[in-house]
Amino acid sequence: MKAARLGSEEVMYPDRISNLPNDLLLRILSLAPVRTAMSTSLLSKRWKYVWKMMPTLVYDETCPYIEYKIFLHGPLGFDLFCGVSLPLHEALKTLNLKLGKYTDSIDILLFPNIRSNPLKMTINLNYFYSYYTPITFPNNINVFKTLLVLKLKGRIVLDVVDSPVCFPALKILHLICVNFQCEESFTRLLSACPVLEDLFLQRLSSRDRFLFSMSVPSLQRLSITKECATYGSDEPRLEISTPCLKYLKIFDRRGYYNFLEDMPKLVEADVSVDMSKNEKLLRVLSSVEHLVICLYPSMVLDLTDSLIFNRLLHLELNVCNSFRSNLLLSLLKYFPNLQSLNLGRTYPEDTEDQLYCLGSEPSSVPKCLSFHLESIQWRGYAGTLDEREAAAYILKNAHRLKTSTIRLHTTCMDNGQIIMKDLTSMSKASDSCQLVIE
Amino acid sequence: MSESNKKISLISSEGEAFEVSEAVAREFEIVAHMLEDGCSGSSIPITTVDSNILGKVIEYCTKHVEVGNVEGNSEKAEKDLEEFDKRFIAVEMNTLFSLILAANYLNVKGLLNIGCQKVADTIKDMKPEEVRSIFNIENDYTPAEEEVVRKENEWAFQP
Repeated sequence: MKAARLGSEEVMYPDRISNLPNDLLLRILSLAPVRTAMSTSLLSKRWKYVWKMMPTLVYDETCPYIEYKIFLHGPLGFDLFCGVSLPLHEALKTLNLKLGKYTDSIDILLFPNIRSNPLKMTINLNYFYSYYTPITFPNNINVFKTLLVLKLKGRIVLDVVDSPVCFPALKILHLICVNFQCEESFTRLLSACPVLEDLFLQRLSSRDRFLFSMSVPSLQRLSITKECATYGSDEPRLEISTPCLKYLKIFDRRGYYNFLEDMPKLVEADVSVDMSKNEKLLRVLSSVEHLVICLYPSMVLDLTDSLIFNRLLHLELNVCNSFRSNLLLSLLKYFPNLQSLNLGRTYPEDTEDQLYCLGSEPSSVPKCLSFHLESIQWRGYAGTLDEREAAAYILKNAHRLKTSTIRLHTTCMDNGQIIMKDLTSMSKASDSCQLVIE
Repeated sequence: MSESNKKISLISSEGEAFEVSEAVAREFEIVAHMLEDGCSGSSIPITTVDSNILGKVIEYCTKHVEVGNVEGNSEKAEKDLEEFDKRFIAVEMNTLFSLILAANYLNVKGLLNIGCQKVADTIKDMKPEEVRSIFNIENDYTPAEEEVVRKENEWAFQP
């Protein structure tokens, strides 16, 4: 098929592609696989230098072609890529590496051979053996001076030694399922990033009580997750000092989180943690406008008149096990300016005692219901006594309510009609409220 | 609305006039800039593009403006447009490069993208010998020079 196509177009036209300006050639090459782009250097002298100006280089050992070559010739690909191709490149902005086997000297091969000043680097080690490939960051390497984004993923063990490595420009750091030689390696790595703004940590199940200690005054966004948030038996401690944080996401029901400093600039928080291990967490979240959290029984003990979420506008509460009307209603007074409330379900394996229930129906209508609440969304409404009571109270007292969307729980589809009828017949404080039942 | 009914003449390198609506002419970013800079004349010379290619670029822009104006059912419209692009760019190499150069000069980003993507898809996974042959590129390396270059990116070349 190829031959036929070649035959019909051969020699019919002058060589127009070689006459394109460089910026158009680079545009074309960056749309082709990097391997194809690099092999154009062989076409003619005109093409010899074009690939060296490509802003993005990808070396992907897990793509079938390279896998096949490694199978044929042994693992020389990465050595040649680093030792021969990489030093020739003059305008590298983004480097993506995806390696499919253990390499014990990746740092020595890679970093000194980068001649230009990349802005973005991704290193992904994706293989099934249990060995971790060590990476250290050698001192005095220019590569790190300009780097803005660094993403490390997979079977990597980071060993950050005494001497302070420095990423003076690094803004975004992703550490995804990587290991650390020791607790200090993690701490040292972060302290080498003085202007870091965005940290994404997907932690592995660590040995026993691994301490993640992070003190990053410049940090604005922090996301910590664990691949399976609820499983595993480790109990890591996280000591966090990030006074300028604006966005926080935690999805980790094993860890003990200790925020050492207040975070007055925090705007958005999405925390899925075991609250019985993290009693002080609510206190550092009090400045948020947007909060996603699990509704847990002792929440009513953690909130007090001295801890009121004045700035909170949007609240998403995920209810574990059975829903307690009293609990929800007694909490509302701590969110006086709330505009939207989102109720959902979650299934953690908390050990927290679900049997006792504190709180009682409020003596006076919470301020948010009288003045601010405009929207309520309820997923998994099953029409239990407690749910009914809460729904009736909110509809009866929310004067500003514009939309309430209630999605019935899958188990109660049989009596869905009855529940719907019941909900529509409830008295509503707001005339303009639109009730949608799904 | 009266704005969009205004007609503009685009003059090809051969001096042929193509009358288009202002909305279509504005798809040529270079024309849009001229109009914004107060060039109010109703005919604009496009001296580097010949009639054949200019006609095609106008066809492309007209279709994209038409689809952009239809409201609702955007998913289907998008699919139609994708189909149109695919058919539109299935041209022989000489025309393809003329279209790329014209799109680059006139700054029609969508057309430039599909043109470059078409070339990239054509050379994907080809050996250098095949690429030379399909574009009629003359190999001016000596065998010794070629060997040096081959060494530079050895891992990347087909076995």
